[in-house]
Amino acid sequence: VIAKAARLIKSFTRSGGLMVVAFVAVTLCACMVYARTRSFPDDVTLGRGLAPDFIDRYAVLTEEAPTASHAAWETVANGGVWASHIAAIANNRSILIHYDLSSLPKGMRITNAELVLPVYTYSPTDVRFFVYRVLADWGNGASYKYRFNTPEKKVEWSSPGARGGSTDRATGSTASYRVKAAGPVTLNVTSDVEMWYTKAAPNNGWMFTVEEPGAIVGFYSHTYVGYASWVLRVTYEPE
Amino acid sequence: VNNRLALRSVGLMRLLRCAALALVATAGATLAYAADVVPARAMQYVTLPEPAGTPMAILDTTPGLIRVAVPRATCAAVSDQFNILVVGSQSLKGSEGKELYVFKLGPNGEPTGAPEILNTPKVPEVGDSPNQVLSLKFHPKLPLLYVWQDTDDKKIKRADAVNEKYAHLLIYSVDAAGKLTFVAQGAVGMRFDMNNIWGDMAVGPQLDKLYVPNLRTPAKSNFTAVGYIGLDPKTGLIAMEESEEKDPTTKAPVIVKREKVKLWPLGGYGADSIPTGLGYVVGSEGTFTTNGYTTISSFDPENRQGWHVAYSMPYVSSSPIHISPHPNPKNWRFYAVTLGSAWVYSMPHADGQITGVPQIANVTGLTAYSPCVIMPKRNQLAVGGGSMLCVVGLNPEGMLTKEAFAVKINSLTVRAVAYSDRADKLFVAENPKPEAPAK
Repeated sequence: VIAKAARLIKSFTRSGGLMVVAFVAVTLCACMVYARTRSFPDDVTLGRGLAPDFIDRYAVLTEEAPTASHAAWETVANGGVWASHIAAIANNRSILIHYDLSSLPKGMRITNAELVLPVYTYSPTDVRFFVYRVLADWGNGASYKYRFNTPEKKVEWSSPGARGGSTDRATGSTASYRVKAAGPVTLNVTSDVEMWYTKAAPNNGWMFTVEEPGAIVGFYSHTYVGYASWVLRVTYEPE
Repeated sequence: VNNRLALRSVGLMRLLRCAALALVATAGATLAYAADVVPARAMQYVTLPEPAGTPMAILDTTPGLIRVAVPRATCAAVSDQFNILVVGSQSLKGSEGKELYVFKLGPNGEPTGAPEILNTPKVPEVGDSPNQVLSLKFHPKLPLLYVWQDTDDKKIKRADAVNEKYAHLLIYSVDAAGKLTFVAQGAVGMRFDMNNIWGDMAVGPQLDKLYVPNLRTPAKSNFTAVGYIGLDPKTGLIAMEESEEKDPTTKAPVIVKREKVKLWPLGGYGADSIPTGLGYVVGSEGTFTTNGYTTISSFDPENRQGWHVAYSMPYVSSSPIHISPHPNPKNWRFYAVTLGSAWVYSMPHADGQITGVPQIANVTGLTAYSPCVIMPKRNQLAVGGGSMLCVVGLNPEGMLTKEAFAVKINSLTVRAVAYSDRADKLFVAENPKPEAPAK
């Protein structure tokens, strides 16, 4: 057997096999090095309008329009006309958003995750808005009343507006921010992204809301081409 | 010498075999690793065909495509119950009409002969102005065909006297042999705009509403509006409502019967600038979705706090959007196309209200002139374009896939497209003679 193996190795070496092995090894190493030095979202900008490759679920939950998914900005006072290009959150209105994180490579450690939101308007100054991790699954038909509203599935939130702490959303907020000026706001969401990445918790996205009655924070909605700039920036390294 | 040559050739063969194996292994490993890094995402935005820059394959035909010759065709509808295809057309100035072409279809879905050509009823005040059929809808249960017509003459204004007499809505009965007989008309007056080139209708699920296009708020405000004309659910004819009014001469109270029209203004979204009601997705509880100005708008008539939600569509110009519900009412998905553009959308709805995130396709070479026509048996949708018909694939859930091709059609603007689910045939109306390209 040893002699046979030796003969095989000899013939392999003679026929240039070592060169081929070296070529393969170098190519594989180059691929791996390239892949592992990528940063997420790499060269993909999650903004400047709809970034549907990554934002795959979005809804605005509004008490005034309890079965609508996109009643985000009241354009005619008391007229019930709503538009989607600005999304304003209040104590009875919140935004749900879900990022598809499946393009994160496996075997990494999340070192940082930042969410950048484009604030359009706010009232009063110093109004504080909160980011909650959503616990309950939601999807098509999500509204103030329902978390699913499809022919197959009609499921209500445990508390309208996904306000149920520890059932609809996490009890504590992931982040909060006091708005002093319009413009991009950066929030640290590392713990949530890490949890989702390691599958310690299912990724059901985030909820943005305001607790203070009468206060609002308005964002350019992610569908507003030309203005919107919703960015989730995740930094990672090999474990 | 021979032995040496033989050995060399054996060595060479081994080398080649090794190299081939190595290449396969390297490619496999690289692909596997790359797949791990960038797996396929849920496709929400796509340029068709993929990758971007790939020219659209333009075929001479596609299986099941049936061409019918109709000059200046504007819309089409198929009845699988009565085995007829009706194509709407635009009449020329001064012509006698010929706005409806009725083709009888055989068991295999093929037309069995020459079409019966009908003139739609018009009031004399229209004179010799061109007239056109904008939408055809068969009643889902009763043997009725709803026809929406409009003038195409800029001399006619909404405030003109002709508008007080011109009927936009025509109702035809359909007999067992597929023959159309005119039975009623409606949609008369200032609430209906004149000279629109687009429009569509939908019968509500309770069969008591016919959602109609190009409504306007009365008189001075002149806002675009959407809404419906009430139907008698038993007969499918226009429901009338009585109201007490003062007689203009005697001033005595009189009971007046009018057609029941309910409309909602589009508010700040599209005042007097666009055709409205280009397709309706109607939910079971009265909520509905239709087009707005650069938006798709959902209405919840029962909710005064939030009765209108205008969803800004990404990548939409100011061109109107035409909406087509999925023919299976249990599939809560609808399709939209920005007319005159290459944008096609697939969107979920929640019982008539827009929800979720749109799936958006930029279809290379498409300049859309027809609504999306969904073909569930084939998992495809078709859109009429400029001298072509574009076909885009759908997955079983109704999402757009990467499949896309086009078929040459002899019409500069392909507007009349219809699909027979029973026969699995796609009908397209084209000009009888080759059309000269536009200058």
